[in-house]
Amino acid sequence: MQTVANVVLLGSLYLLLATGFVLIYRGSRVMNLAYGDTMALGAYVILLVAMASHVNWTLAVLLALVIGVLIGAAMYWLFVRPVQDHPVYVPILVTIALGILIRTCISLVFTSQNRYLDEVLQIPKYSVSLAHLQINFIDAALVGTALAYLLVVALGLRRTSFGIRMEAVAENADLAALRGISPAGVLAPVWGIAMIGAVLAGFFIGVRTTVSPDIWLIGLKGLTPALVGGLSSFRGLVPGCLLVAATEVLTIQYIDPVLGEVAPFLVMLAVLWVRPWGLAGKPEQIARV
Amino acid sequence: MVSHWFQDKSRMPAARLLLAAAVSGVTPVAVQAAAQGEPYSVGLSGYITGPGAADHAPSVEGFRAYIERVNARGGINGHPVKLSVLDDRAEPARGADNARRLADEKHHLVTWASLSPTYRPALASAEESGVPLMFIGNASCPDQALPKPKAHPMVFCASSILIGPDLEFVVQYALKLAPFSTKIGLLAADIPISRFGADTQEKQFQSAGRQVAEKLALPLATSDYGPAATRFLSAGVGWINQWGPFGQVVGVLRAARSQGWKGTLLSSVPFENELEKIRDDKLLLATAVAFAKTVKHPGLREIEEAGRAIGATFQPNQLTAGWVGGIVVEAALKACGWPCTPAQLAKAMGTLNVDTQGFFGGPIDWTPENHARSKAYYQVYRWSSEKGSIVRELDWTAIPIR
Repeated sequence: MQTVANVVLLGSLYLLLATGFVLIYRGSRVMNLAYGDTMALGAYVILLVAMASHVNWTLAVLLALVIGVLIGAAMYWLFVRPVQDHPVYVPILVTIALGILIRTCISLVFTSQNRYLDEVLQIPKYSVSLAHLQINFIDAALVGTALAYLLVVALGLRRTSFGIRMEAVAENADLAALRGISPAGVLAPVWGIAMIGAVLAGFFIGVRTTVSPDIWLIGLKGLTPALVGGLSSFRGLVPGCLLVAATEVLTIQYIDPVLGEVAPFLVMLAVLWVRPWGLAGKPEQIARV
Repeated sequence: MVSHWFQDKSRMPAARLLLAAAVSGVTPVAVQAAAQGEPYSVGLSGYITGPGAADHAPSVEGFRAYIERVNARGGINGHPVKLSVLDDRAEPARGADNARRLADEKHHLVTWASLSPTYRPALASAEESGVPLMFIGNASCPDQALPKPKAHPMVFCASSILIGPDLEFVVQYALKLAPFSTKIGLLAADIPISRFGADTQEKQFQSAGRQVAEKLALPLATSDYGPAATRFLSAGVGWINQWGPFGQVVGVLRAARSQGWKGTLLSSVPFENELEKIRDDKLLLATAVAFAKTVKHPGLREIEEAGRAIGATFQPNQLTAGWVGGIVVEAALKACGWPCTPAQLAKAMGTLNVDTQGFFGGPIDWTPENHARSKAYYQVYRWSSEKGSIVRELDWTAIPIR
């Protein structure tokens, strides 16, 4: 039972991250390799908000989410939008550079000291026993939040006019512009919404372990399940995240923890070898890329 | 500014300095003195920025604070100390660059506060240049400073970490406190020195007739510590000895506790402030550096003032290991006199005996054969929910350096 719980928990963390990756890619066709760093930044934003405002922890997280949305939108507007019409590798390189910049700034301002979000936020610690398992409040919240985020994002894009505009821009930005849809006006909020996943992932990592500048590496690992599920598909996210998480957990628990780092990539290679577009991606979108 | 909001009072001047480091890859700091006259020249290569730098950057600040303090009080033998600080980010290539640069700068003494992957070029440089090399802060003492059978004439160690005695102590402590029926687990990071620590402990436990039920080396960027914790629980481990970065202590401990684990974890990192934040009664920290805040060390006030003077970003109690490095450097330069050549300094250091003022458990007592110390001393601390504070579980206990 504990193994299943471990898979679900790790899968949920990956789900938060992978949803952000897919949202950005689906909207702007950019693979955001700064996403891990924005996750770390999100954790520090929560820390700053909590220390500056001394509000209840839920309010601190909500405020941090709002700030995160603004940061995500600003990132797109200032750094990605100017190069989006360039060859595909240029925006990717920009995100890599942006990630390094964020990481360096975090180290300079915050130093490499470990920070304890749960201590700063004063999050209540309680747990319940369920079928021989101890389930604590934060772990349950992680699972619920990850699913809720995915549902809100996926359904929101499908059933709202904003979502339709986003798909139009992703399909053909020039045509969308001719139809009166501002690509930048759509994509900036998309990047902002993706930042919500990053901030939430940073929050859960921070309260379950520590916040330090190194956690960006964990954020970047969210790309693997996104690729496995299909970088342009929300439907593939849950199976992709669970598959990667299960592989990693089982490898750690029954083989070797160091191989647990490698196993997700082996799964990714295996899946992409058979289905280059991922479990639920669409072949024609790969041709476009 | 952002830094204003921190409880630990980050200082913008230090942040600007580090910004220069990030751009240029070096942190040049020439500490100009209130004392006049030609200066003693000391170089330092430290792990100031980068992942895991939190273990070493405070030592650099502590050392700088001490030197600044000495200069403000008139220097040593009437001469100021000019300090040149370089950041190596614990990267071998940068360590090599720094060693070359510090050799070119022709210092009286080179100090080193970084990780062991950077040591080789520093040791080679000490050999070639004839300038004594001293390891300080939380750097681990290299074998060249130890009596194996005789220390290298140019290599000295005033740092807090002596791997052999450290490992011996934590194993002895676990053997003493963990009942024979309690299964032992070992936790390390997937880096050579941490794996070495776990492997060495395993051999020592086996020599003492205790089997290790589970030994894990975890990657540095572990996404989730739940599976590792499950392995320890499945093996029935009731006591874990950890040797590696502190981040994994927190991760594994929290994951294990959330899975219902009631055992004890003993770690060898001197992180007083972390213990206060984690608040787990069964997390024990073994340390060669006194928890100055807990024991209300009288010297902490001076460190705080000196730290403020240089714009230190870390808390005063985090600067103590580097501060001791400063104490030893002052004693060494005082013993050398003026004028002082590197060769004369190395000779003077060969018989130095320095009182560490209670920050370490005993003196730094060098002999021509042993440039570390004759004994390593350790304390153990834990959080007490009953008292609502950190308590000292074990007072200074000596392990001889053989």
